[in-house]
Amino acid sequence: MAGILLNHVGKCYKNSREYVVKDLNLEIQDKEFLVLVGPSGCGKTTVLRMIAGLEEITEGEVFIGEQKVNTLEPKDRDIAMVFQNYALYPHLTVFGNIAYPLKQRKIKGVKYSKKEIKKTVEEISILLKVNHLLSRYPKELSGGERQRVALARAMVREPKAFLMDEPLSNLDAQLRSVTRSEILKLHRQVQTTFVYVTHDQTEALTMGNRIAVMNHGVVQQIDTPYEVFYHPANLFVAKFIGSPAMNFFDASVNKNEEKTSIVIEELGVCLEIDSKTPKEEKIIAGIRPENIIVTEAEKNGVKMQVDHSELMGTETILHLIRNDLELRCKVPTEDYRGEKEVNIQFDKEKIHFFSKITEQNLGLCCSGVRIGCLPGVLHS
Amino acid sequence: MCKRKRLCAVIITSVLIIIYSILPVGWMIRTSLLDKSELLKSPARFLIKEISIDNYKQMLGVGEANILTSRNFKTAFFNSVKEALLSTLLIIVIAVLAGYVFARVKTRITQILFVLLLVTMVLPAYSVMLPLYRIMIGLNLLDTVTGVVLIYVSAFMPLAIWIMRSFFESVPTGIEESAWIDGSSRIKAMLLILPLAMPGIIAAAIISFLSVWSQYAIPLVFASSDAQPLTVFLTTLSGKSSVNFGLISAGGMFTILPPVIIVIFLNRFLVSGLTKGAVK
Ligand SMILES: Nc1ncnc2c1ncn2[C@@H]1O[C@H](COP(=O)(O)OP(=O)(O)O)[C@@H](O)[C@H]1O
Ligand SMILES: [Mg+2]
Repeated sequence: MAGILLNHVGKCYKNSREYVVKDLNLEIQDKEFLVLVGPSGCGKTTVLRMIAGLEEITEGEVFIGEQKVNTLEPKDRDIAMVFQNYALYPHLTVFGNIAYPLKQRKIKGVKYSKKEIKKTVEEISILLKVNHLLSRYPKELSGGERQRVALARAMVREPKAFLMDEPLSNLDAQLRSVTRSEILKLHRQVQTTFVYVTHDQTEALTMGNRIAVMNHGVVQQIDTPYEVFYHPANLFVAKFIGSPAMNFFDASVNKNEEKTSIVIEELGVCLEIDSKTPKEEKIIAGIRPENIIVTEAEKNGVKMQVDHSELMGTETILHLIRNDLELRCKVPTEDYRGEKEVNIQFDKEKIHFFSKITEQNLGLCCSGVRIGCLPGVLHS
Repeated sequence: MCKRKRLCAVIITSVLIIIYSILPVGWMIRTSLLDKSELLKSPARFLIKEISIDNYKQMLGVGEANILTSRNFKTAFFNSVKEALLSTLLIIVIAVLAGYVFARVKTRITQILFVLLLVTMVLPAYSVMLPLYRIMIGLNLLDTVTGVVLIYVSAFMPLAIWIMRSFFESVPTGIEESAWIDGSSRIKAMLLILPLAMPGIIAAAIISFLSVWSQYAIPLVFASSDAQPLTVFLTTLSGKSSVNFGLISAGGMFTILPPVIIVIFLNRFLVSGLTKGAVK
């Protein structure tokens, strides 16, 4: 049991000159469940493999507990890993697979006895519900069963940390949600540090104590799921987290004597700002589909055509268009009766503003929304 | 219609090829079963009326026979077996270790070394005969099993290493990585995936065994009497004045027996080994 510290870590694969991980700083607390999330190819696996010792660390330092592990062999790092494709030993039975880590370890120079191994393997296989499969070979197992065996093999000993590389990506949706909560339960039971890699933002939000969002080898934000969702640090995080994705609009800043307002010309919406004034003229405004309020066509609001709708159960996603502009909003299914035209309003507290240049969140607060104000009117 | 025609063509061609390659062997079988008196009869016929196993008896030293011939035959047979098995064993141990390294460690040095290894494969054996002879004299290994085994190992190791490298390359690295993390050393992780490379090992072993078994030029020079294998022994059967074709044929039968058995029983490993290995 130990925390993991990554200090200015960079990685450059031998045959290329480009860094796939850049200046990564990450402090993972002891017993924490940290989720590393990002689109495919952003370097998540590389980070995990550097922690495990499977990939050389080009730059920076990695600590597990108090120990610097940069040059330590994987076998001496005392961590367990679940691979994306499980990497079970194909010619060993499930029992042999789960027992393998025990057979490799010594405690104070003494190997585990056969009896101890048998007992431990049986205990862990009952915990993961694979005890009826012990004599089978990996190729005789379903995807879900393989995944459980891989988990059992990782958990059979007590490592300093667990590393998991998209362990659920090969499972069907239903099994995925079941296993998700089971992994969390295991985490509570074993009280060990978990580093969990996924490309699925839902998984990240539901599972992590903290989430590290990565893109192009750079960590964009490390925070609790709540903070990442409600206060995205930049445009990428805002786009990546949340489903369906946030709507973005080009907006321009309009400075008056006493008040600053931000105008979304495409919608004819004017947003009043009561905090500091941004330096830039052009910025990006974002609002999540669930923060758009849909009203009937007669009421006050921005008039939008309904292009099509997706029923998600109790909620329906409406794809709205107006001229070239497209946006998505989420409404309770019961409230939507197949209208072709709707009016939308915005929840003013839930609007985010991003710099167009740095893409950082500007941290502005909107204090009021005026609809139907044309740019020409404003300027006069 | 067309399909059947093509099938017929294929069958006829195959039969012709089979006859072409098996005929000499058939002739050898026939000659080995011939009685001495009929040997020089002319015209010679392929099918013979009376079968005699005298030649085989003489080879094995059963009944009234030339004791010297049968004793030499047995020594030569065991020499062949010893040399082939020992070389194969050594080649496999080296090829597994080296092939693994060449498959998994891709640095400039290993790549250069591997190319050098392949270069030695295309050198004609005769070009190194003379220096090798000096070395063998110097080491006092001339006409010893150890000596020829060393030569065979150096000659056939590159191909085996090549095959093993290709096989290890086809085994996904994830399994070893998983084993390292589970706490095993590099060599233990390699042993863990060895069963997955088994077809390759068997193929490399068969190829090495067959190559060593059929060597003639090298043992003729380096193992001409004490360490003499079967191939060389057969040539000693022809005396100065007469050539006993029957006896030579019987000896030849014993010589081709082990390879034939191996190929019949381990054929499928050979095929998979070659398709996955060097030919790829
Ligand atoms: N062995 C390798 N050699 C060279 N480039 C690699 C290697 N492995 C991964 N990469 C590159 O590194 C980047 C990050 O890959 P990876 O860490 O696997 O991403 P992720 O797991 O987030 O999908 C990708 O652009 C990929 O092409
Ligand atoms: Mg990955």
